[in-house]
Amino acid sequence: MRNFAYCVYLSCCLFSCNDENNSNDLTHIPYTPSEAYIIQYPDSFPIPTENPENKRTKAGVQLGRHLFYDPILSLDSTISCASCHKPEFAFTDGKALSPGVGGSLGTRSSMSILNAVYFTNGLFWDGRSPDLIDQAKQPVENPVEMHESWPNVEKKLKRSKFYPELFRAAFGINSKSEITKELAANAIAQWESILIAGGNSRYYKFLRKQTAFNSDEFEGFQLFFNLDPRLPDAQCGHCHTGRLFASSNYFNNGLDSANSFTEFKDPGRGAITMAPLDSGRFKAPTLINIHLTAPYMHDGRLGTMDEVMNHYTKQVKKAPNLDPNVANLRISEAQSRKVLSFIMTLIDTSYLQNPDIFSPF
Amino acid sequence: MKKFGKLLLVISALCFTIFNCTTEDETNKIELIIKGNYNNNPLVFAPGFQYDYFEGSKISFTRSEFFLNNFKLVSKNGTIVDFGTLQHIKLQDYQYNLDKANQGVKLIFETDAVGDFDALRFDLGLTQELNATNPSNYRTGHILAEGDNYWSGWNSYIFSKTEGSLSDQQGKSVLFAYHSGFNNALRHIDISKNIQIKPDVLNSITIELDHSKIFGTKTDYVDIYKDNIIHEGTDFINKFMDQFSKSFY
Repeated sequence: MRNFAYCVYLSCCLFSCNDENNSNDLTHIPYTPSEAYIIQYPDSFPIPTENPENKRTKAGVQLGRHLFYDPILSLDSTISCASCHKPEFAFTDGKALSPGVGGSLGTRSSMSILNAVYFTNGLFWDGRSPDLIDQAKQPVENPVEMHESWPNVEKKLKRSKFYPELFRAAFGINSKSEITKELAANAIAQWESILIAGGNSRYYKFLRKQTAFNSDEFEGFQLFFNLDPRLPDAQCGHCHTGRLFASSNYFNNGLDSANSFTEFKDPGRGAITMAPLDSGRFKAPTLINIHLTAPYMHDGRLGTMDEVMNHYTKQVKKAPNLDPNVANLRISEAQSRKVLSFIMTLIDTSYLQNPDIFSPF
Repeated sequence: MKKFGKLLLVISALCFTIFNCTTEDETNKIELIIKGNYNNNPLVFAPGFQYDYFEGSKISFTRSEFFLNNFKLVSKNGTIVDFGTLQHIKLQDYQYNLDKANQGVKLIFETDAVGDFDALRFDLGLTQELNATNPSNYRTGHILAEGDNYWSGWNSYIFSKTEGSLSDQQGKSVLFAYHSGFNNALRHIDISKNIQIKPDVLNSITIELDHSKIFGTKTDYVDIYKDNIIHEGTDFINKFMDQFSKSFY
């Protein structure tokens, strides 16, 4: 009798295990490798180098899109990536500091993720992330953002009614147990790599001889790039340079006074490299669609572009590593307005025409 | 036994062939060390490192970066061997403390060259052909795709950036930035050196850039207080690049 009971117990265990395996199994879902997701990059921009380990596919982009807009990544299902990166604000949130789970505030303003695929020398204001995949992993476990843990997120994704299927379609996994933070981050990175803007801006149309600048815009263009020796140099093009009007370097742009390198309230890049000269330095963001990304600076302290120009012409503060090109602005208010007119030509909202950038929910 | 002997012979011949091929395929390595100094003192990009400028002023540096290209080994008998292409050197990223400044920037190249050479030849800046391109011609990650190295207003890459600050004992101080570009900023540099490239070892060649010489001589030097921000293709930059190119040794 005891033997019989033992056999029944063993059978139950085996049956139970089998049942669990069956529920994890995804092989009953038909799978064919997804097609590549092709996008047309602007001719004027460098060509993004595709990660051979994470080639962009239609199914990968769709999975990334779901994950980006889903608050499932946060502790209490209140915050998604899109809470701080909204399409209408060029993927920022219109706030100086973004509230995370429980309303907790960090110390940095949300950065635009448009064109992030082009940046190869670090993402975030301090460049702490080397690439889109690493960047996608960080907010989940940041206590002032999603305040969740990746093991919990993985559990939630495995339990979900639709994510296992989306992961199978994107990566060909055979079991729910193969859902990992790495694959989730890969998918988000694939989706983020389609967020491209700038090529249809008036500036690029001007360069392609498809449109003309008005006189203010043209003078602003000359001031911005110091093209006319009769005009002063607005020095903008040193940090907002190249095809993306951005930089992969980090700068102290005179926001805070400091007599020594230890005085910066936020050490910025210095906390990453531990190099004293990097203390108080931050990334120079792209000016493409900058008008959609107010407020400005790493901590959102300046509300408008007028305030930004006022800073660079009147409010620059001394620090031992102040960038030499920031410290010497000598332009009039009228010229400052013309520079702003030129910067307005960098607006390109054509990215909003791609339905894949919006929430699937 | 005879058969075994033959087999051994064949195997030995095979081994010899393979070993021989491997040796032939091997390339030699050159370790090019680039060090920034100031009047022969290691140049450190960090707080507290100031150097004597002219007339009692003190100079410090925050940035010294430049393109080097077309590295060649030259011998008196006319042999010229190419061994390296475009590099963008950012001294400030390497020489951020005294120890690192003593080490400099190390680049490893592979070469087929072996033997004795009498000079190292390279370009400071980009050739006209390369400078006619722009970042959109390259994939991200390529040196020339970096927007920071390109000045859209000039339609030119920025060949060099030299930045820092100068101060005197009376409290006068100024930040400076000298950026060069345009085709006429390209300089060809020859440094006389006895260079021996041996097979199967890492052959080190060190070149130094004395930043004190970039700014001129006792009798003819840059008045940084007066001309502290220069980035046009002016006579100033032409003279600056002449001095820059002569500061390598």
